[in-house]
Amino acid sequence: RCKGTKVLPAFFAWAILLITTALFFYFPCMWFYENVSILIPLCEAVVTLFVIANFSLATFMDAGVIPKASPDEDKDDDFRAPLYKNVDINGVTVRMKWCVTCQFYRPPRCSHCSVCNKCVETFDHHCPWVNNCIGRRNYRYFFLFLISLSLHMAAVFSFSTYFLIQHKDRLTQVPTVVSLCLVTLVGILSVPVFGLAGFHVVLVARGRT
Amino acid sequence: MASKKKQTTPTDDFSARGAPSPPTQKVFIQRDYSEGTQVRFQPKFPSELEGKIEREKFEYTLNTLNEVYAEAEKMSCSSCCEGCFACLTAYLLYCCSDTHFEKCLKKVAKFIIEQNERVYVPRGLLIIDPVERGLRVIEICIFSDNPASTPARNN
Repeated sequence: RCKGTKVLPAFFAWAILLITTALFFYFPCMWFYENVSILIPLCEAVVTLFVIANFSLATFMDAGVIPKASPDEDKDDDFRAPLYKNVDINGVTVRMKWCVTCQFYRPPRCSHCSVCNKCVETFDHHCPWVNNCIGRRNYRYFFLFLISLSLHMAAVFSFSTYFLIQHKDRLTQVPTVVSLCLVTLVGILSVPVFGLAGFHVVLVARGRT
Repeated sequence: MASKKKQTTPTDDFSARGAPSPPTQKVFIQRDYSEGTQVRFQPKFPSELEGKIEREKFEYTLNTLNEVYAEAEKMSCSSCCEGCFACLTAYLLYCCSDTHFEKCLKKVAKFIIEQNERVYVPRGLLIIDPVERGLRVIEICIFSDNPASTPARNN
């Protein structure tokens, strides 16, 4: 089992987040603190804390894994249980599928994650950047992580751009070069992140997570 | 913050639950989805328990469990505030206190222990907390007549 490759995207995500945030605080943010207001680094610190807290919980919180059923639960005399079992929910007939790995009929909105090899309640998806399933118990943290990360990226992008404009006559200095890199990197990464955040906002609004 | 569910198979350790030997039979109470996807178990009296326990006692247990689970999942002002406050403290609140749902699960655990002690074990039955099965089923173990539960007879 090459567990190393599973952790790689999450490792990169944490690395990019921490390094760019650190660079932002050390270079452009210091200028804002000295020349504009202390509120800017302060607010940015709060947003960063939110990003890290939600990222951590989305990563480490159990998504709502349903433990595998022990063999004594199967009271069917048949060699194989029927693949589907119908159940009535508020008058609507819903089909529950038999999970061969976990040995039970999957409750409504439960799905089997092939990466984790477990059934997860209200399964959304398996996120490689978080190296965890997103399901019932941790969806709120994942969602808030996306929102706070979008906010954080927007802030870093805006402040770094403003810093660049203010220092466009000193393009060879380290802080300016760093700001340019930040603007470029955050600008590129904001496309998938904002896109995903927007998508989940729509899902939540429509109640279709 | 992480899941507090035990990782060992739930059905192995019977001596710790006050049962003298492995069960002869198991009854599984399934989830009742007729009113929605919230946690609720079918209050129907299973035929395997006929003669082993009074219907009212069983129904009382099931109905109380269903009530506690309903309360756990209910969206109330306090649970919303708890969530918002936890978020504002960067979830450090969860290091100090349990969520509303976890508190209700603890209530269920206490209730099941009390019911087992007072009602079920004296009748040769044992209820296993459904949280050990991922809240899918309530497992009731039936033990055969054992010398511990019946008084010693002199032939």
